[in-house]
Amino acid sequence: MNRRHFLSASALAACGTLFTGSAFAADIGRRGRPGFLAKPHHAAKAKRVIYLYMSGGPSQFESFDYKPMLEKMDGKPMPASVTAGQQLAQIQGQKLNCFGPRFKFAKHGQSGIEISDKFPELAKVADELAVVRSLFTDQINHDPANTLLNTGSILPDRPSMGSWIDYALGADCDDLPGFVVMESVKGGQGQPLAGRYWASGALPGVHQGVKLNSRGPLVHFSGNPVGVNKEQQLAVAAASGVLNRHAASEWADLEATTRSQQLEMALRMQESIPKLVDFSKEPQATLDLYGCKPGDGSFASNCLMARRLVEKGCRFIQLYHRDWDHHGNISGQFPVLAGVVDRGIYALITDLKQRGLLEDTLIVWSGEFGRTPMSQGGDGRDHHMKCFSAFMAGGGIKGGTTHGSSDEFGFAPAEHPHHIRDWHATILHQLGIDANRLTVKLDGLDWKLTGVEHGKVIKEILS
Amino acid sequence: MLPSLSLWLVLAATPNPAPQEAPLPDKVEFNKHIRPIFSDTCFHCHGPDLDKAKAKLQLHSFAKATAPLDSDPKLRAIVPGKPDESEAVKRLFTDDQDELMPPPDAHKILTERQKQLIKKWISQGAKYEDHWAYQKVSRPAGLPAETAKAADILIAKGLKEAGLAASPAASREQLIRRLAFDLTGLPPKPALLKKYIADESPDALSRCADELLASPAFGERLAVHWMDVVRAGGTAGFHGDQDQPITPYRNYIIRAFNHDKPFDQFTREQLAGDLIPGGDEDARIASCYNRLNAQTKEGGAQPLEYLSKHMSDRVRNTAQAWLGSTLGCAECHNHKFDAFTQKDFYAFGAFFADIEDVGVYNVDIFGNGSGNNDSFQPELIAGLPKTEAAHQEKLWSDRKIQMAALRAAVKRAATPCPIATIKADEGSVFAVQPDGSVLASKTAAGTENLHFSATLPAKTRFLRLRFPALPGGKGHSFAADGNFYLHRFAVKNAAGKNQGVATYGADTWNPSFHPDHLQSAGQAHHSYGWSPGPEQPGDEHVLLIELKQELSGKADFLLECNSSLSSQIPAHFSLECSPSEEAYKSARTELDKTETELSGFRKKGGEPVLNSRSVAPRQIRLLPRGNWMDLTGEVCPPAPPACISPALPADNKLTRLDLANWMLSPENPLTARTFVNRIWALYMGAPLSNKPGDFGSQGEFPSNPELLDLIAADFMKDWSVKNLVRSIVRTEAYRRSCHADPAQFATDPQNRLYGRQSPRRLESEFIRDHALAVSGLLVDEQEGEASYPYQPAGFYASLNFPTREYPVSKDTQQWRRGVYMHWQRTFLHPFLQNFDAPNRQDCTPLRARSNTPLQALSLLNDPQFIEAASFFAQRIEREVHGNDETRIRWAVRTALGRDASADEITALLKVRQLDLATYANDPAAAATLLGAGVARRPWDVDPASIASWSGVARALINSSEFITVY
Repeated sequence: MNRRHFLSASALAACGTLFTGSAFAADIGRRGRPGFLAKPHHAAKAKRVIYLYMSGGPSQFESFDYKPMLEKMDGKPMPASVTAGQQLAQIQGQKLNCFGPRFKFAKHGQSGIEISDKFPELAKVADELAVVRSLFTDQINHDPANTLLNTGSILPDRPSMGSWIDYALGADCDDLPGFVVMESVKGGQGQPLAGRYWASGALPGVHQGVKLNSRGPLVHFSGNPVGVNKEQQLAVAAASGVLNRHAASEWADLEATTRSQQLEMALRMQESIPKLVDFSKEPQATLDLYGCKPGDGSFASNCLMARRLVEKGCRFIQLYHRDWDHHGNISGQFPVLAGVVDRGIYALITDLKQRGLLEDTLIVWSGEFGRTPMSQGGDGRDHHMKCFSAFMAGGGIKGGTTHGSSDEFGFAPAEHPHHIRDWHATILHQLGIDANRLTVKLDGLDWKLTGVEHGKVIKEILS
Repeated sequence: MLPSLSLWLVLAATPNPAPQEAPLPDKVEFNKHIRPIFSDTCFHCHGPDLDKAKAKLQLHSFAKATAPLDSDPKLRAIVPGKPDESEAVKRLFTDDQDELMPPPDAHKILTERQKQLIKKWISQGAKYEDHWAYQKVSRPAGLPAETAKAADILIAKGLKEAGLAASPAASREQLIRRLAFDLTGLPPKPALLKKYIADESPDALSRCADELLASPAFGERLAVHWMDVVRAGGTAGFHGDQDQPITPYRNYIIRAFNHDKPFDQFTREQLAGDLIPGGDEDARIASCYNRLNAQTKEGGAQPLEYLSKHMSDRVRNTAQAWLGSTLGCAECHNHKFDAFTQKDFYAFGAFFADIEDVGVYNVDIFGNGSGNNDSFQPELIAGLPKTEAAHQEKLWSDRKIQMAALRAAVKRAATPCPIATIKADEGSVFAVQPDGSVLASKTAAGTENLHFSATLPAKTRFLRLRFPALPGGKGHSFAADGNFYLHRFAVKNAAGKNQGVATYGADTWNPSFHPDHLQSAGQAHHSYGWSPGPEQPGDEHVLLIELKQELSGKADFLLECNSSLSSQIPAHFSLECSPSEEAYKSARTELDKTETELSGFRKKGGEPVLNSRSVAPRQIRLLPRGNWMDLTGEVCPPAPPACISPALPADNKLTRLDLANWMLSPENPLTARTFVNRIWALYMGAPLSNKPGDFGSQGEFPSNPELLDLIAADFMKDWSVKNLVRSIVRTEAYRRSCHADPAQFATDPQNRLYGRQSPRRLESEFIRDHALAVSGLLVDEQEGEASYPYQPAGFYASLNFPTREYPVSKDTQQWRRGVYMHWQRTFLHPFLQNFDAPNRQDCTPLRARSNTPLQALSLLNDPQFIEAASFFAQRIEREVHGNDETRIRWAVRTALGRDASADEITALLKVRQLDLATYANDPAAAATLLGAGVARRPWDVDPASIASWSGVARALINSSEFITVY
């Protein structure tokens, strides 16, 4: 079967029959899998996204949001006017004391972005970052907050961000999934994740995120059964293809033809997946840059894999690291976690830049929420949804930007408050997608990544 | 709420059999032609939600649409019979972008045909019709009594109108195969095939269907569907996603379908099995349905927030499962498309307010801490011997009595002890009242410390702090919700020495704010303290403090109120003292004993199941914008939505049983329609109304509304699910071939007129069942515990609280049917997920049927299919006598139920020869291949002889036909 046939038919299977009337990308001769949008809503600044997902909720006060007032008031009661009527999590109903930053901050790069001294490597690429210090969300517990950040809703079965993007844009590869999720190890036990964070919900299942293993076989069921060689595997698939012709001709069952094509794609995935974990061609300098043993399951190793996936044409890559939930011993644990991710992020940004890929790769760093300016138990911070910090870099982002600010206690945004749906809208915008126009019918609504609300693009951080 | 749209999206890509270019109908009908356009493109701003109606214009009813416009009373949006005078028409056709409707920024563009339809409809008088789904179900007149015959007449009528000819019946063998998969989820047994192929009598297929309907596999097949609808997973769903016991409920569903439990009884038992007078154990097990909402044990989660999540989960599911309604969309605002108000949502939720529940299961209903591995009480231990079962019920009923006794004992007389002085640290203003109580005129915004003093009578051992409700029904504090939080209690004797507290007790508490959590002097801030919870005004709350030692004379008290929520400080309280409180102590001891025994009931054997238990209902308020912290909304007593018949006015006395009976009333237009629409799709490919989860305005006008009504009306006569299914599979339409002439494919691509049968890919569980069946591995046992088929190692690595290893089944549990599989909601088995099984967190009316490379990888490489292929290979080698070609013919027939063609035999022979050569050279590889899985190898022949048939077996399992019903 020629590629043209494969693409048109599999695209039909993936979404074509679902959404008739849509035009598919015309350049089907190109290697890749077209998306739902025939062309972007506007010129794209980024072709792909790497989302560095700091699950658990890293503290903004120990990373990007330096608060002298909080430092001054350390240990003193938080003024009741700040907290009256506000929802808190574990410290609900307790005495609320100010908790100053635990670490030193300094200005970095020409832009002078303030970063704590626990991110020495990241600080070297400060001028690539656009830090937003005035994000807020409306879920205060991990699971609903993660669901909201990933899918724009706390209801189950809403499509996730990566699924939306894969659905809209397809991928520049036809032998790998367009939406890939990885999770790194190290750092102790973290808050659980749920498969719903990368599920396709109401979108066709082909757009679901595929979780690659950070150690061991990369994709479940992607290797030949033990005791079966490649030639045998191909022969089995070929025979299935012959069998499928019967259903196609006897009952005009298009699904049978599509199934042969998907079988073919599965075999191509089987070929290409092992190549992804073959790091032998990586120059030593690159390995040194990341400072990890490739495939060791570390965050840095996943960052390296993300770069390789970018080169292969994946559209949306999400790297989770759990363990940012510092209710206690934040002085001890935060540096450990910062140390776990610092090098990897720096290496990823540097590596992509060296390869000319940073300009069209959007890097996003955030947790599902931030942490309280009040202490919990003397050396911890509780969940905080009213205000937190995150950054973007690369694809069309104005590096060296600090946007938005929190009030003097760091409790709520002071300038430029942005709900995370603005974050969503900005990510889609960089990819050439108008978040308000990418919809699917769900419960009678034109459902969007931003739910029923409109997201506003954070224009100030765009180049 | 539709997790898996693709089935009907696949079919609904063009919404109607009539293509868009079709000429305008002679008579334009509102429900069929106009409502879908209005609903999709106008109602968002001009629909039933008056609060949000732009320019106060509403187009959902004749009266509103033809009333003078608010903006210009000379104009009307619709002037019946006069499209040229109708403002709506003008706005649809204008070139002026400022005037155009829908406005360009709404991204809703009407086609020329849609505009012309509206114009023609107005010129024909703009006749509105009540929404089809809300009209009473009535059997179309003039049809034969037999449902199947009547259905065929209506289908024939639809085909005739479209000018289409129906396809002929499928072959006898094909039909037996179709019946077997559809009715049991399994391939036909060879004996069944033989028997009914030989049987030439005209009713042979009907008898074949009856035989399959009587098989226990029938209930297993329909249970898969029903568990999707009611989102019966096996885990908590939120955060730690801990296991939840629902096995007895799953078995109940299977039994109910197998015993043909009438659907009305089935409904009553699930919604209100605990309320049915004289209800049996089955009914109590069924009431597990009310506890299938996602639950959490996450620390820091707020009980009130999760109680509201539980309620909305229940409303969403019940409304969608039984009423095909998206009432869940009205949680934060009035419904945009349907006549559901936000109050309807909360009034519906109030039906479930009596279910005993804590918001966050880090405590249980007994007030004890609950660990990651502890149960989500209340649960029922099912299947115990009669005496134990009776004892269990007695304990639950004792508990209710003892709780009341405890409250009474706590309230029993003690001496009032006037408070002498009071002062506050943070600005609250209290004054001592003539009766010795203290009353605030103002309280601080945030935290507060209250210092008061009194002279205690001699030998005081018990203190009672009474918190009467404030006058005017505002609860117990000046906070919006009338609630208060006490964090610390301390008392000093006249010498200024802190006195120890032995125990705290209270008549009531907000979940997670148990009196035991109160801190005493000197204790660290590590838990929340006591809060009675927002209650009905008029209640008095009492905190009972047992001192470690007797105390007399002057005493100084401290109450710390540390809520960060506004003004949650008790505004009125008084003190009582008592030298002893024997009645309280014995009542408390009795209750503790009962609760301890209930907590430990799992040890008595039997099978636990989540259970609903009715207690005094929580007060349900409308939450403005769905915000659980805003308790200023009006109180909503239970009531079903007023727009759905029959009328049932709001009343605090209404129960879940009343809700069930309302759903089952002959006047209720939705329950039967919703159920039969889904069941029809299971056997015919597409539902009659193509949005099985939404029978509202944004749903789809049925492709054959009379047919839907016929099936629903006949179902309501006896509520027999077996009769319903029997009627469907007895239709000629069901028995048609999937083959069709080109005209049918062209005119009715989605087979909405049922002129042919639709190929249907098997649901994931049945794909696995099929592979196990042809391999001979299938263990055909009913009920029993959850089964854990092979799953990639480390698949649960992202789970925590507790961390988990997947306990893969190592015995015959491994090869049980898919319906018995463990269902991890947040990490569904990758095979199930790849084949579109829902995570069961929300109602899935019908599953999607996608077709993806990950599916291909599953069938190619998942060890469960490799093991099945090895055993199928073994059958090819050992059960068949003859040459390779004979064996291949047998294998194709066994797997696909048909003869192999010449080119198929050639292709499979090639696989066979390659395998033979490979394993002859590499016997070790053969042994490795056959080593997949945990099955004991019952054969003692050379592994290579079997392995060299495995490729043939795998090619068949990987074929499209193997996983599709034709």
